[in-house]
Amino acid sequence: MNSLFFVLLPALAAIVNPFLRRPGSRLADVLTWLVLLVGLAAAGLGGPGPGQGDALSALMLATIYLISFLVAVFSAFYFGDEDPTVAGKRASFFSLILVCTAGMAGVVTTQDFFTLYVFLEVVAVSSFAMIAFSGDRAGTEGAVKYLFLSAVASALILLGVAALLLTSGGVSFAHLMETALDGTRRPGVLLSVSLLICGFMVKSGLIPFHGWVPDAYESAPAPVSALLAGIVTKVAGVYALIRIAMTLHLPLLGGDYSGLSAALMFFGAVSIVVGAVAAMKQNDFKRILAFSSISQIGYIVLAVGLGSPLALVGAVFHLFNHATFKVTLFLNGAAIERATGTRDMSRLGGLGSRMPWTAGTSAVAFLSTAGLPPLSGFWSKLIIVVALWQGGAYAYATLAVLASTLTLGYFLVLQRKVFFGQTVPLTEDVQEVEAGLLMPVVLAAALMILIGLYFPSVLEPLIEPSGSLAALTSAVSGGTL
Amino acid sequence: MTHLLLLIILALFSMVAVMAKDLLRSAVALGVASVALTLVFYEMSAPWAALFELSVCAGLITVLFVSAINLVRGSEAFLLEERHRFWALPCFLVALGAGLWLFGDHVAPSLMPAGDAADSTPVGSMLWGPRRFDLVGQICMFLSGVLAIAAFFGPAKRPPLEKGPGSVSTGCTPATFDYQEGK
Repeated sequence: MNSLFFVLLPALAAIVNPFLRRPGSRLADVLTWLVLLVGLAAAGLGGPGPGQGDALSALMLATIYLISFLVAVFSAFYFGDEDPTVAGKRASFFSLILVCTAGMAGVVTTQDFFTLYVFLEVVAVSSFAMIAFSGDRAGTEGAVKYLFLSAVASALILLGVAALLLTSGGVSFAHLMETALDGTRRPGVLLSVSLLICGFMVKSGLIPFHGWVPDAYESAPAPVSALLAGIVTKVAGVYALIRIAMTLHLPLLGGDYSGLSAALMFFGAVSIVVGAVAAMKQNDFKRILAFSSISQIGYIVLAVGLGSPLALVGAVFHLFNHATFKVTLFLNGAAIERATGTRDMSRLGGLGSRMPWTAGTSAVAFLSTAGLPPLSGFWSKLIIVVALWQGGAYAYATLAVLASTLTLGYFLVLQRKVFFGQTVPLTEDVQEVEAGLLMPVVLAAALMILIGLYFPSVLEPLIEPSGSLAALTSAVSGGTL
Repeated sequence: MTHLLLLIILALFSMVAVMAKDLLRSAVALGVASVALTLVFYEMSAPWAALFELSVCAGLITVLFVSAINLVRGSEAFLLEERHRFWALPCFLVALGAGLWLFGDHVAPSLMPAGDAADSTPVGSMLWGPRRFDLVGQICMFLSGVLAIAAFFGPAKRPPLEKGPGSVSTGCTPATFDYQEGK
C-alpha cells in the first residue's frame, strides 16, 4: 500500500466530516470509525509499500490507527449531543482526531527528517486544538503550555535538520547514516543529532522537559488525554528517538556517539524514577497516569540509549504495550469521572462492586504496566532488562527492576482507594457505564492478555523491525561496510 | 516571462500586506506573497529554500497570524489601533518599476541570476516528485489550522455572557473572555 494512502485517507475524511453535520446525526462519528478501521486493516495486512517504510513503520501505523479507533469509539459515546465540550462542533472534533491520525501516519512513514518535522507540526496543531477544545480556562492553559514547549521542541528539531542539511547535503535517514559512518564530518553530525534528540526528548515529555505533560493531560477533555498519552507523545517523540537509534546504530559508532547513548540512558533512568515517585504523591487520577506515562517512557528511552538490537525490540514492544495500557487507564479514568463526577481519589472507594468491567480492565492495565506475568507489559520489560544486563548496564538493569515495584506500589494504592473497600456516599448509587464506553477498554485489555499469553507468536514480527540493524551489525563487524 | 510575472505578484502582494487596513487581509496577502516567493526560489533552482519558505512562511506563519487576528478581533484594544497607510511604498515601487523598465537591460542580469540551466525540471514535477510527502503535510497543516479555528470560533451552544460594568463585547471565545476577566 502506498504510504500516502495512510495520510490522505484520514485527511480527506476530515474534510468531508464537517459537511455531515446535522442536529442529532452521528454520521461524522461513523465515518471516523470506518476510516480508522480501514486504515487499521490496511496497516495490519501489509503496511506501507516497499521503499516507503519498514516493518517498524507498519507496526506504528497499526498502533496509531488502533488507538485512534478506540478513542474515536469512546468519544462518540462519551460526548452526548448536548455535551458542552462539543456542542455545535462535534464534527470538528472528529475531524481533528482524523487530522491528528494523518499527521502521525506521516511521521511514521516518512524517510526524512524534514518531512517528519512537517508532520510533527500537523500533530502539534491538531493536539493543541483538541486540548483547548472545551474552551474553558484549564484547557486553554494546558494547551498554551503544550504549544510553548512544543514550539521550543520544533525549533530544536528544525535547527537539527538544518545542521544535518549543511553537514550531509540532505535530510533523509539514509543521509544521516552515511554521514555518521563517514568519520570526517563527525562534529556536524553530532551537533545535528544532539539538537534532534533534545527536541524529541521535549516532545516525549522526558524529565526535565516534562512540565507540559501533567497539565496538558489533566486539562484536556478525557478522550483527548487518552489519545495524547496513548499514542501522540509516543509518535511525536519516542518513535523519532527509536528511529534515530536505528539509523545511527549508536553502539557501533562508539567514540563521541557513546556520550549520546549515555545521556539518553541517564535521562531515561531519571524519568523512570522521578515519574514513579511523583505519581505516588498525586491524588488526581489523571495526574497519576500522566506521571506514570513519564516513568514508562523512561523505560523506552533507556532501551533506546543502549541501542542494541534486543534493546530496540524491547523499546518497540514496550511502546506498543504502553499505548494499549495507557489508553485503557485514561479511558477508564474518564468513565469513573463521568459516573462519579470526580477524579479525586480521596473521595472515591468501593467502585469495584459498582463498576466491575471498569475495575477489571483497570486491574489488567495496572498489572501490565507494573510488568506482572503473563501480561504483555511483563515481556517488554523483561526484554529491556535482559538487554540492559547483556549490554553490561547492570546498575540500570537493577534500577529498572526496582522501579517496577514502585509502579506496582502506586497502582495498588490507586486500586485500593478507588475500587476496593466499602462504597462511600459518592459511589453508592453509581452504576457501570454503558457498553459503548466499555467496548474500547475491553478490547485493549483483551489485547494485553492475548499478547502476553501468545508472546512467542508476536515476537517474530516485533524482531523484524530491528532485522536490518542486525544485518548491518554483522556487515560492519565483517568489514563489508 | 514567468519569472517577471512572479516577481510582480510578489511585489504587489507584499505591498498589499503593508498597505491593507484590515489585518486579516494583510496576513492573507503575506501568505500569497510567500507562495510567489516560493515559486521564485524554485525558478532560481533553490528547491530547499523554496520548501522552507512554503512550510514555514506560507503555511505555519499564515495560520498563526490568522488565528491570532481572530483571537483579538472585535476587542477594544484592536479597535483602538488605527493603521495608517504607508503611501511612500507604492510610490517607491512605481519608481523602481519604471527604473527597471528603462534600465533593465543593464541591471537585470545582476539582480536576476539565470539559475542552473541544467536543472529544467518543471515546478509541478519538483513539488510532486521528491517532496510530495511535504506537500501533503502542508495541506494537513492548513487543514488542522482551519479546524482549530473552527473549533475555537465555531457555533458553540453556551449561555450568553453577562455584560458587567467595564466589560467589553469582544466577540471572543469564552476562554479568551475568561482570561481577560481573570475568572
